[in-house]
Amino acid sequence: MNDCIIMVDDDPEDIILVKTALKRIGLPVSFLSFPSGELLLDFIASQMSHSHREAVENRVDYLVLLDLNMPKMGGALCLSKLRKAQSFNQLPVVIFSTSDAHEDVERSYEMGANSYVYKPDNIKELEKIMNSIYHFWLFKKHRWLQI
Amino acid sequence: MEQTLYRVEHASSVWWPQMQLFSGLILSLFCVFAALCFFVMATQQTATTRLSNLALSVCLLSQACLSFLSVVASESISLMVYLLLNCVFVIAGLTAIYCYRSVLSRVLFGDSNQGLPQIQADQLTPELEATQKELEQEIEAANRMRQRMQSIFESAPNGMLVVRKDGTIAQANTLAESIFRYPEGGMVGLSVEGLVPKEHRPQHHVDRNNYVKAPTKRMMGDRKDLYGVCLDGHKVPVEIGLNPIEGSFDQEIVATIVDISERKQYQRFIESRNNELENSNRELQEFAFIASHDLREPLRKIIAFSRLLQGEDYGTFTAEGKEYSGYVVDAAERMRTLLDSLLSYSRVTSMANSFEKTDLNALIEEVCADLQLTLEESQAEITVSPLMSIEVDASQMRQVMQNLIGNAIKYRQPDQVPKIVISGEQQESKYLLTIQDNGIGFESEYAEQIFEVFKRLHGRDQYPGTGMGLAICRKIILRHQGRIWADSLKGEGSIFYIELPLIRQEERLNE
Repeated sequence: MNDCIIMVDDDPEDIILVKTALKRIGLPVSFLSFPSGELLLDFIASQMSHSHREAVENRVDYLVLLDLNMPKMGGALCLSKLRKAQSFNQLPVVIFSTSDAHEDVERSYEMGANSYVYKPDNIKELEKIMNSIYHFWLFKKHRWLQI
Repeated sequence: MEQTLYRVEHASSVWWPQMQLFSGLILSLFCVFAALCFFVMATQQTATTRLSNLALSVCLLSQACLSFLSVVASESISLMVYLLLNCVFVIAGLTAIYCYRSVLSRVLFGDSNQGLPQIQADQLTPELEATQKELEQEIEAANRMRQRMQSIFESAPNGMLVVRKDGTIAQANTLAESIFRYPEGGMVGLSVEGLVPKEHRPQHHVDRNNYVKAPTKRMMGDRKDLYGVCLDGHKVPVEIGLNPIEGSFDQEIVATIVDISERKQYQRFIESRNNELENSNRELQEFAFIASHDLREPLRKIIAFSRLLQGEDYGTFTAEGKEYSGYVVDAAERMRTLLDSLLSYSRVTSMANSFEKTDLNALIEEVCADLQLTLEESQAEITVSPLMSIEVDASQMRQVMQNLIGNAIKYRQPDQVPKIVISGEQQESKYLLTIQDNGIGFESEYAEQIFEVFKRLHGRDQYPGTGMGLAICRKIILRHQGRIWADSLKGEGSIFYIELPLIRQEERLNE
């Protein structure tokens, strides 16, 4: 089973852009998207309880691309909830935001974000970013297991 | 017969007539002299004693005439004249005795009660008269004083109440009556507690008793909002001054009352205006921030998808199509820079840092390090004289210097090496920074306009930029409570002046 990139963003165009970029690079990942933090938390909760019953080799690794500015539960609150829940605190979370403000970057790292990526306006750059994110957080493990 | 006898008797001796003549003359002369004396005394005495002296002098005068006549013309004098003179003598004598009866009685019968008051009354009358006059004058003065006090009391620009120890109103001026809407004289005798709102009456009673124990001149209510209750129940905002009346019998207190309805109204009006202004100011700031922030999102999409289309993976453009799609991306990118600069303009206040003592020389060095590439490219010469350390928002001040130095290089003469001279000078409580360049300058009529938002003096193709740089500079300097202005001659460079206060006033709370 492929590893999965979950994108949480209220902006449908951004989701399309990321999806397109992933498709263009041809990475072996599945892609899920949620328009809000609550839905992500619900999904993760259901998956985690589910995966306990599955065999280890069938387990899916997740990576979350989390937007900061969202209606209702914003990225920051969602992240802090993820980090408080014991079962999710190993989940890699990459903040994916249009904000380049220092405060946002610093606050995100303080709350336990694994990385902070500024949304590019260029598909080529986006492809590069997705590639390195994948290789850093997901692919590396596969290669290591294969060796 | 008798006359004859008289004459015979006189004629009986030789020396007798001479003797008689001589003594008669002496007697009459003496009497005249004494009469004159009494007469002179009579003219200088008071009414009672004048009459007695006059009577005495008449008495003596008549005696003088009698003796003179009897000596000089005893033969020719008629009986009638003789009797008349005697009558005058007796009557005048009796009158004098009557006038002096009190003196005589005292001399004859010793000190008697009968005579004494008469004498004292005589002597005391002028004193009594004087005392009475004085008293009358005093009463008149007191009346005048009372009138004066009354008119002062009435003409005071405030309502005034005189209140007794027990809380009843002893006196009220017309203004006090009109403040509390009472008829003329309608307040006297009432309790002041009636003027206090019901809920504060018990407290007022306690406070008033405390005040009576230790009265001092002070304002009532300790700066709390005070209200008075009118006769018709209406509540009026007031300010009340309390003052004990010195020398009053009943520890009276005078309360000075000012109706501050109008002032309150103005105050409320100003406050609400102020709030409105602050709100609209905040809204504008938020608007600028949110607008520039949120408007960037769709722009980013336009740029991203346009670029995706330009990539030719989803169909190919003709040569013209390529050109036009390029305009879309260019325009969108330009708009994004405009929004970015608007955002940084609004961030001058929304993302402000605190003021800290900063070495301006070090700050300019940092700016030069940031601009290193541009400086090397243009081979600019920057001269910085020693500057002071002053309290600024360092990151904003860096932004200002970066803008100004960047401008000096950007607008350089095409055929000259840009020279920038930065110097500073302390002027009393202010510090004046001067940034001078040898660039293209501008017409002096634009000296003010260049600091306006989005103001540009050149076409986009000549010099890129959004026209926000100097506007941001001015906003930053204004936040520092300073001034920025420029001086230039076209073609001869320009000088920018920044005046910063060395001691800033407290920052406004909402900043």
